[in-house]
Amino acid sequence: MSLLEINNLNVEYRVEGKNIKAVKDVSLDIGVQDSIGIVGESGSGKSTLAMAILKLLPANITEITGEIIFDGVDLLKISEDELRKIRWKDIAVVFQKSMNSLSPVHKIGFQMSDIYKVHKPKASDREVKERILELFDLVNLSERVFDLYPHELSGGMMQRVSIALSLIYFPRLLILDEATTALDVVTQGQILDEIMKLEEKLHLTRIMITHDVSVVSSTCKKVAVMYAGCLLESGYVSDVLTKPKHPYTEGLLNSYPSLKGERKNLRGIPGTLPDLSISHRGCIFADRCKKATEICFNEEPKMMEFDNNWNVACHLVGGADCD
Amino acid sequence: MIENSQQMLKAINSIKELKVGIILLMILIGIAVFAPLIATHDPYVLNDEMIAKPSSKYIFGTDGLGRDVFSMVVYGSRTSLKIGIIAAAISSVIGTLIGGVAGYMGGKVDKVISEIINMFLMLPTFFLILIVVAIYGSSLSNIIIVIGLTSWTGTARLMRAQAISLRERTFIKSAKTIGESEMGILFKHIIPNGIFPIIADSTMSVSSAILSEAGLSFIGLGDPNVVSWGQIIAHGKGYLTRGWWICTFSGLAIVFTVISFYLIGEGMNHILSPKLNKIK
Amino acid sequence: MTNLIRVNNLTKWYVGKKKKQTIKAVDGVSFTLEKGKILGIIGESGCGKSTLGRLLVALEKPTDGTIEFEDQIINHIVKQEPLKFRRNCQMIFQNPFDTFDPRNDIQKILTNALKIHNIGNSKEERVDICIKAMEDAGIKPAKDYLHRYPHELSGGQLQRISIIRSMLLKPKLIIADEPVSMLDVSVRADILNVLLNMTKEKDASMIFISHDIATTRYISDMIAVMYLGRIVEMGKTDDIIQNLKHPYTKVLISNCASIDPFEKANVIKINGEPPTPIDTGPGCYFAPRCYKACEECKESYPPMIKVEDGHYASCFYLG
Repeated sequence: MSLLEINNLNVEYRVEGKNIKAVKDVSLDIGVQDSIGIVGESGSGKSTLAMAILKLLPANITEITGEIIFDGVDLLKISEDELRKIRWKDIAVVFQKSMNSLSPVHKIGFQMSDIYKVHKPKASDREVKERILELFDLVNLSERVFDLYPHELSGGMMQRVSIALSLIYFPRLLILDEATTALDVVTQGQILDEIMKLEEKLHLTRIMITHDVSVVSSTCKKVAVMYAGCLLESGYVSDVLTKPKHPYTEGLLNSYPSLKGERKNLRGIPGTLPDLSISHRGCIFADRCKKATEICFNEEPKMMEFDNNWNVACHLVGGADCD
Repeated sequence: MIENSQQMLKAINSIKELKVGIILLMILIGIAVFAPLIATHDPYVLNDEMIAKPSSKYIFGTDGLGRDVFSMVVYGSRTSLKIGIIAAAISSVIGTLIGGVAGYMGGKVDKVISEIINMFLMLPTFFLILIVVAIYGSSLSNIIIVIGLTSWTGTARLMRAQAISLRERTFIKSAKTIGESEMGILFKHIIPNGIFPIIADSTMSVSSAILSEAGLSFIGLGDPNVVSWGQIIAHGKGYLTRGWWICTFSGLAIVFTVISFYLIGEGMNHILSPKLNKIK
Repeated sequence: MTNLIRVNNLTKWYVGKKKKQTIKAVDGVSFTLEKGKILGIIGESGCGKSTLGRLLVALEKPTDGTIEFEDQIINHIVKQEPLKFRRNCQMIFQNPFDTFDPRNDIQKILTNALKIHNIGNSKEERVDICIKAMEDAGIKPAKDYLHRYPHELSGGQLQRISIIRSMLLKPKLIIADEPVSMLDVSVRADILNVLLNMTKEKDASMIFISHDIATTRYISDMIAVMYLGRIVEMGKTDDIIQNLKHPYTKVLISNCASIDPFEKANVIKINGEPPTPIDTGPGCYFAPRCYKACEECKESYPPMIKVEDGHYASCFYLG
């Protein structure tokens, strides 16, 4: 049973007379306790996708079509009031630079209590504090953080506060948008570890949005690869990241230097990102793909399903023009 | 280059204040340039009809000495524009250089210059202008120079703030490592990148220079050899009841000019804010 | 002497204005670098690697210690022959989007560098030199890019231009400060390869500063690991990666996740966060977080000991 079902999602920004297609026809199914990493480089649309799920995009310049069905309810069709009930109670987000999402002039404890009371306005102070300290314990923060100001915390502690905040109502779906990118590798390791333990404990379903494939390979079960707004490949991490079917995924993985083995010649993907405000013919990756053939430039490839929930959108895979 | 000027035109068109301000300025410049063609009489000539009401012969009437007010206002535009633009130019250049050096160099140089700026801010400039004019005479050039030399502090502070924020940018550090000299960086990178708000500010300086001159003329310290709006008003204040048109039309001319420069300045500030949003 | 650059006990301390705390950003760093070799400097934030980069390229003055370039102290070279120093010692910055004056087009940016150093006798000659350099570095057709502005190019293209501009001056030493951290992963390989080729072809040396160990391993001949302003381990790349000795190096490398989901990493966990270099204790700076720390570690700072040929580490637990 899918917890989150995204069907044909399209997000377009209208900026300065141009229409930028940030997310193009993305469909994705996320089951309960399926930890999934959405991987992509700049311009891939992964953050836009995350923001769209919670309808956090500026309404006057974005146009969203498609369905985002959370536990049977289409989030795009319900009213703002109903959405507010779901936000944070069932779905929560942790952002990248959490320093910016907290008020610098209030203590952490005060801010967290404030947020707690949004959905439970009648809770007593003692009950709120108890809950917050419980959360601190979950994320490995000491009790004294309750009385500190944001600028007194280090980067790792701030992220932990953000995670604690996101868990305040024990949501079912947690979205982490580049949550560990700005941290040092050791701190990142600590926090990722803690997140995985929390997932177990609280039966969370987690979506990790990142540009760093190593984060996904070490902490997620499933992966979805996005490029220029399109979903190119998705499936289990053990399949996609070891034997990638899509040329972009292959090229992306080859771009990572390794610590072990030969210092082989590192090859990236030549070319640059296409202009997202122009509509494209054919596969969006064709210009940079060394395996591209004629059909790739003319027809947009459809997403095809293989064994084991493995989906790939490529003409060259699965016999589109082979037999 | 062409792209840039096309972009500029687009920008100008998009902001109402700027459009209106520039149109008004064009009218003003037009009047100043074509003054001999527009004016009906020689502004210095003392006609027979004194304190004549506005009529088809004397569009704005005449003053106590019989001079045609309309022609005086028209020729007065030259004086005002001259004063405004030259004085504003002097103060802007001085302010930009001083502020740029202070902000970019930092350290002791900045401390010293900041104190100098503070000293100038404390001076009652109008009285300083009075003293200078009293000592050196009230020719137009003296007035322009002294206004320019005393009103640069606002620009200096603006430029200093710009320089302080710009000097930490990567492209300044990168210019240093390429081998650019300090002066080179100041003139090629810091000042050109920081100049925009100063241009907006300078347009306000033009208005204030014109008003300063008007004030000087009003109390009789203006250059008696040129036609200036302030002088017309100074002369007209004695005829407020009998010849209201003398002060009114010259006063309106000042208002018109000040508004047009103000609108230009405002419009430029508007461009500045969205531009800041556009640049990464 | 094939040592192009020798750093002796380089120190840079900042005094905080309010709390009178001394931030020892770089606290006694010494190393040498030969001609044509690439030294990678790795460490987390607060270790001082960026400050070290700025000191090496004379953007800041050291509080103590010296940097010798071709046996001359760079403070002297900068005073007497500043242009010569700049030609010899170039820097590639982390943020390609802010490396250039946004008001200049690419042609101006490149020819300006030539003009400052009096390379080329006329504008046309300078433009030709630039076009050739751009095409050599893979920007084809160069003429299309000459009149573009920085905001019209991508991060990868801009970083390439930055490298081209530096190479126009034929430097002997390039300091690359996190040159690919802000670029997309698929573009990094290209830039790394451009850097590698340019240094090898022109026999220049490079100091590659990064927090990404795998990338540094790819490009460097030697690696130095920094922690709180000091080098804790230094040696040939393969020695450091395979035969690492210092506990901090072990922690750092074990925490690098690989993209292979089946690789079981033996992650060494340590508590706490990378501290800022204030009040660094009398003992080893890593002792508060070290999993092997003992009393001796907290009392005195371990000296730099030779582990094997060309490989040094400062820890009491070696050998």
